[in-house]
Order: sequence, then C-alpha cells, then structure tokens
Amino acid sequence: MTRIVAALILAGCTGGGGDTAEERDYGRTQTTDLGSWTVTIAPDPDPVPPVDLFALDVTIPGAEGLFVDVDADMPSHNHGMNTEPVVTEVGGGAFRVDGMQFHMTGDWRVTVAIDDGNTYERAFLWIDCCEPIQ
Amino acid sequence: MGCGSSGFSEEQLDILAAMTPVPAVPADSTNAVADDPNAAVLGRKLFFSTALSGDGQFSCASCHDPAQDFTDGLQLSEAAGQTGRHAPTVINAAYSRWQFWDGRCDSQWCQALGPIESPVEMAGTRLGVARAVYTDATLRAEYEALFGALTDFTDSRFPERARPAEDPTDPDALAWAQLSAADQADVNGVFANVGKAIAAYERLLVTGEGPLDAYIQGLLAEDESYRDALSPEAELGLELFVGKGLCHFCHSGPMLSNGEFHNVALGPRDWLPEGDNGRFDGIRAVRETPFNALGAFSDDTEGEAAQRLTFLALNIDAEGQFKTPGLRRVANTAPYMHGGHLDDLASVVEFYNLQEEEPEFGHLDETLAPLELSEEEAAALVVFMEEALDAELVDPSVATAP
Ligand code: HEC
Ligand code: HEC
Ligand SMILES: [Cu+2]
Repeated sequence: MTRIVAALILAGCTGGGGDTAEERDYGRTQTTDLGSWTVTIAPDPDPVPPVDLFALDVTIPGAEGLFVDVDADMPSHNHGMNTEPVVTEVGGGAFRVDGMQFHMTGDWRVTVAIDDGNTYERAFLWIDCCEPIQ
Repeated sequence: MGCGSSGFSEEQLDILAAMTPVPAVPADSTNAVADDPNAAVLGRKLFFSTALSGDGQFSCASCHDPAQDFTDGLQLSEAAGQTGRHAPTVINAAYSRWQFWDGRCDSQWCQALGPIESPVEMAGTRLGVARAVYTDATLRAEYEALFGALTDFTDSRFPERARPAEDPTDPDALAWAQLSAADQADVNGVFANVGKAIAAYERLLVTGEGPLDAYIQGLLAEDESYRDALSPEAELGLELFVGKGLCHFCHSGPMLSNGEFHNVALGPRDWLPEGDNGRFDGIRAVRETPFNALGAFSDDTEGEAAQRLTFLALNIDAEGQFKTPGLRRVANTAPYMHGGHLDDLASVVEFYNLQEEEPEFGHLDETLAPLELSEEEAAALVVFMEEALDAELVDPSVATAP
C-alpha cells in the first residue's frame, strides 16, 4: 500500500485513481502457467459493470469435460470477491461463469484453473474495473 | 496515464464521471408496489404511525426524524430500549442493495419489518400490525385497494400480539405458536405488504444533484466555468478524495458508496455492546430471513436481488465489515459510523488520516493506511464533504408526516 501511495505522489499530478502503478497485460487471452492451455475470457456485459453481477464466457480449446474453476481477486488489496461464482460447461471447450462481482475500482485478477487429472494449471487474466456506465 | 489540464488523471476522470449524473432509484422487482404512488401514500402514513409499535408510542420517525435528515442525531437510538447500532439516514437508502449496516436485508421492505418487532425499537408484533391496519378505516381501505381484502384480525381466535421469536418462552412467541399455519401465513403476508408500502414511500426520499454534479459535468464537458461550482478548498478536497485519500475505492458511484462492506477498523467505545461482527453475521441473517428476495413473500425470486443472494459468499473477510455509507448530505447526519463512533466530519478525516484503532473483529481493509494528510488537506476534505455533497431532496414535500 505504501508503495502505491508513493508511486502516486511521484506521478506528479493529483495521483492515479486506481492501482495501476504497475504495467499489466490486460489481454483477454493468456496461456496457463505450465503452458498446456490457452484461455480466453469475455465478460458479459462488456465492459464489466462496477459492483453489479456479471458473467464470464471462458473458452479453453481442448478442455471438454475437464474440471474448471474460476475465481477473481484484487492482489493489491489482498481480497477476493464477495460472491462465489458458479461454472457451467457449455460444450466445445466453452464454459459459462455466473455470479462474478467486482465491488471495487482497480485491477482485478481472474484466475482460471484447469485440472485434467494429471496437472493442475492456472491462467491469470487482468481486468481493469470499471469503466463508468453512461 | 497523463494529467489533463484540470489536474485530474484520465483514470480519475473516469472515477468522477461515475459519480454523476444521479440515476433514478434502481428498480426493486421483489416489491410489486415499489413504484405505485398509492402504495407510497399508504407507506408514508405507516412510516409516521405509532400504531405499529407495541405500546403506541413509537414510529419509524421516532429515530428517523425528518427534522434531522431522517436520523436521530444520537450515537445509539432510544425508543422501547436502546439499539446496539447508530441510526443511518433513510434518505437515499433506496439506492442501497443491502439494508442495515450489516446488510441483513436485501430489500427495503425486508428492512422495514425489523424495527417493528425489535424489542428495543418499536416492540410491536406482526399480528399487532395486521390488527392496527385492519382496525383503522383509512389504512384498511388503502391497504385493501392495493393488496386485496384483509382477514378480520379482531376475530376471537387472534390474540392482540404474536410473532415468532428466538426464545420459545417469549409470550409473543407462545401466542404465535398457537395460530394455525394458515393464519400465520396470512399474518406474514400482511406484514410483508406493510413493509412493501413503507418501502414505496422511502423510494421518494432521494436527493437530486448538487455542486459536485455541476463541477464534474462542467469539467467533463470542458465548460470553462466548471470551477465556479466549488470553492478552491472543496476542489482540493475532491482532488484528495479521488487521489491521496483513496476514498473513492469504497465511496464510488453516484451515492459515493459501492454499497458493499469493508472493515475500516473502528475500535470499541464504552457505549457500544461487544460482539458486533458486522457483515459476517449479516450474511447468515440475510440468507435465513423468510423476507429475502428468494423467499415466499418476494415478488421476483429470479431477478437481480435473488441472483445476488444466490451467489453471495460467506467469507472470513466479512468479519467486522460494515456497509460503506452513501455520502450525499453527509454533513447533516452526525454522529458517524455504525456505532456513532465519531462526532463530526473532522473526526472522520482524522480517523482515516491516523488509522490507529484496532477492530474487535477481522482486520483493517488492506486499502487503508495512514494518509499523512497535512492540516490544510484534512480541512479541505471536510469542506468538500460539507459543500460539494450537499443536495436538495427531489421532492421535499414528501419529507414530512402526512
Ligand atoms: C429505535 C430507533 C429506530 C426505529 C424506531 C426505526 N429505526 Fe430504522 N434504523 C435504526 C437503527 C439503529 C438502524 C441501523 C441498524 C443496523 O444496521 O443494525 C436503522 C436502519 C434503518 C435503515 C437502513 C438504512 C441503510 O442505509 O442501510 C432503514 C431504511 C430504516 N432504518 C428505516 C426504518 C423504518 C422504515 C422504520 C419503521 C418501520 C424504522 N427504521 C424504525 C433505528 C430505528
Ligand atoms: C476501504 C473502504 C473505504 C475507504 C477507502 C474509505 N471509506 Fe469511508 N467508510 C467506509 C465504511 C465501510 C464506512 C462505515 C464504517 C463503519 O461504520 O464501520 C465508512 C464511513 C465513512 C463516513 C461516515 C458516514 C456516515 O454516515 O456515518 C464518512 C464521512 C467517510 N467514510 C468518509 C471517507 C473519506 C473522506 C475517505 C477517504 C479519506 C474514506 N471514507 C475512505 C469505507 C471506506
Ligand atoms: Cu479492493
């Protein structure tokens, strides 16, 4: 926390609003930590609404029938979501995640975990929450 | 991330843009009469009626007094007894997804039923409420026009008072247990409808826009006169609110609240009862109440409120968390915090600035740390809250007894 405040002061203007002091890759497609899977996420609605529930469509080619778990947290604030999302397999490597909620402004990290019985791999995808809804 | 000529970064401009304009009150699909003007007329009468209380002395307005911005100005409220928490305002409460400091209700109609039966608040009972509505010709006519014919609750099979209670030896609970299941369901339905009418009234107690909105809208429209909307001190306060103060992390959006729960680490006070675990207990309570969005009295068990309840998690993080209050008109509603911990806004800013209290439960939200504000900066945050967050009621004529 102290680090972030310091970064804001160094930035010279009134300071950043969120916690994007570090550069992050907000790409919607990422590879899992051991490299076996490519995970793509699409929020619904897009952009993610502040504080309201939303869903995530997750595509993982080749992951048909595997155990997939999805969660999200704000590492810089050290907390997770106030909800427990539910993952439903849609078929063809597609999964629907209902019950996501980002209740604070800033960087959220979505963790997609895939267990194929041999390895447990995770992909991390960053989402900057949230664009104001006009 | 650049700094615009205003001194606000792009990211801060987004945060400011999310604070205005003030949208209409969010729909409540769990309450079919939420936006029915006749329900609001009835609800207003009920809000100010002492007949809902056990001994005919107290109404909602006893603690939510229009002359004090729908609060009582006390640390803890006094009616039939003394409450364990401080009374928040009802103004703009309709914007909140969760009601009460711990969110133990997910609608305003659920909320309204709590104080009626609380032994330290109105000390009434749901059967007493049904009888009060039945025996008052005006209330009865208005009720029946909205919800259909009432049972004769003065029939000899009904006692004067009855309600379920945790303590099965409570006389009201014994009386409740004597009622048939059909009569219990009937009384519960009337009780829920009374809550729904009160909620319809409360939805009218909302503020319009104020200096903050004029400032931000002008700024975003690049209208050069936007700075006239705030004094230089309030403007500095706003810069701190979305900058060094990090207030916007939780106090975001049009009500300056994310409507969620955080632990700002307020320590004990000698007037406060021990053992208040806040949201941790609130989550269990909202799941259990028969008057929640998923229950038999909800008019929409699949809508947004129902979804929120379905996905709600019980995390250990919820220990000692309380709801982030909205801040519009905040200068009118001292003292502050869930236990009336702090006397004025200067004390609130000092509290965040020093951040040195130890909470009874849970741990300080990780976003919070001593702010190291100068005296001038602390004063500017107070001026910002007093000046920029002032706003008139959209319809001041409803903010009185009928
Ligand atoms: C004895 C004083 C007292 C009476 C009477 C009373 N309240 Fe309250 N009210 C409180 C207190 C204290 C709280 C906070 C309690 C908590 O969060 O646990 C509260 C909370 C609320 C809230 C929640 C606001 C928010 O932002 O979460 C609303 C709305 C409200 N009351 C409306 C009512 C209505 C409607 C009635 C009448 C049916 C009523 N109150 C009667 C003291 C009172
Ligand atoms: C981590 C989230 C968070 C941050 C950051 C935060 N607040 Fe709060 N604020 C809350 C919560 C939660 C409460 C209620 C706490 C309680 O009663 O336990 C609160 C209460 C308040 C109140 C009292 C309102 C009332 O009606 O009682 C004021 C005023 C306030 N905050 C102003 C600020 C200011 C100014 C800042 C920045 C310096 C700030 N807050 C930063 C979450 C936050
Ligand atoms: Cu956070």
